[in-house]
Amino acid sequence: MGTLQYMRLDEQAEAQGSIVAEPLLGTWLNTNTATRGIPKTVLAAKKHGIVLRVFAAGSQQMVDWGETAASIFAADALATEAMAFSAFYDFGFMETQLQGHVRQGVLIIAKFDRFKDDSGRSNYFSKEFFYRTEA
Amino acid sequence: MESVKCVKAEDQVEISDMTWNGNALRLESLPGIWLNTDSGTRGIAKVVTVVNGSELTVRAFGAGNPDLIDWGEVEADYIYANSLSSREAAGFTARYRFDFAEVHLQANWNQGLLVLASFTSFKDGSNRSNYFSRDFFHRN
Repeated sequence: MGTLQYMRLDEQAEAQGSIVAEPLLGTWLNTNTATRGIPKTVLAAKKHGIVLRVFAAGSQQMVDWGETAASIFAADALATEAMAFSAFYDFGFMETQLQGHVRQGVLIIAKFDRFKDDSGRSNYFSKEFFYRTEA
Repeated sequence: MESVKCVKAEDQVEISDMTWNGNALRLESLPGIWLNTDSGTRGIAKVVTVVNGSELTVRAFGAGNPDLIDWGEVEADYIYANSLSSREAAGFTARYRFDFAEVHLQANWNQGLLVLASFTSFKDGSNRSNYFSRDFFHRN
């Protein structure tokens, strides 16, 4: 094995296999049932990779954002179980970078929203918490 | 009263509710030298944030042996407030592109701590897993 390049000490070892997505897959519901952000997300394995589907709070019903590709991440360079993801939506007038990680069974999603429509709204960061459901 | 476009209820505001001054955020609270609260970390040990006008420069240092590894400076991609109507900067995203890996940093300040999430993707064909880490930093 050749020498591995690294930028921090914990990157000097290799994993014994590829990352398994199952710990992230399923339907996740917001712990705050009155959220005005994201009440529900679904992570699924498709032929072309892992996809995220977000359902956002709407005035009458949830707003289906559709599916977007999600990159998955393990806890360290050696680990083979997914515990985090990153995904991106671009709606034209705004875009959002979503980063989620699971901690003690709770999926924590950080949202980085950026507005491109000159509405005067500040780009902003927020965080929501989700639990996995069978639904 | 005119409403703005949104894809989730929390982004809904009336335009007249906004105090228009563009999207400029106040950056005064961001500059500093930030040290990992875990002094024995093998990950990112130190972060330096510098404000130049309306831009934020980030410089990360990884744990090394014997010295820290200087990742160099990158400009933050974007700076974020902690709410739609706030003008106070409270987070940023930035990206490092090394030959063998790419690291996407997503950070926010919370109660005096810099909370830094990093997403590392390897590009060198090694068997290392792409990985996520989250660290906490206090001001030096």
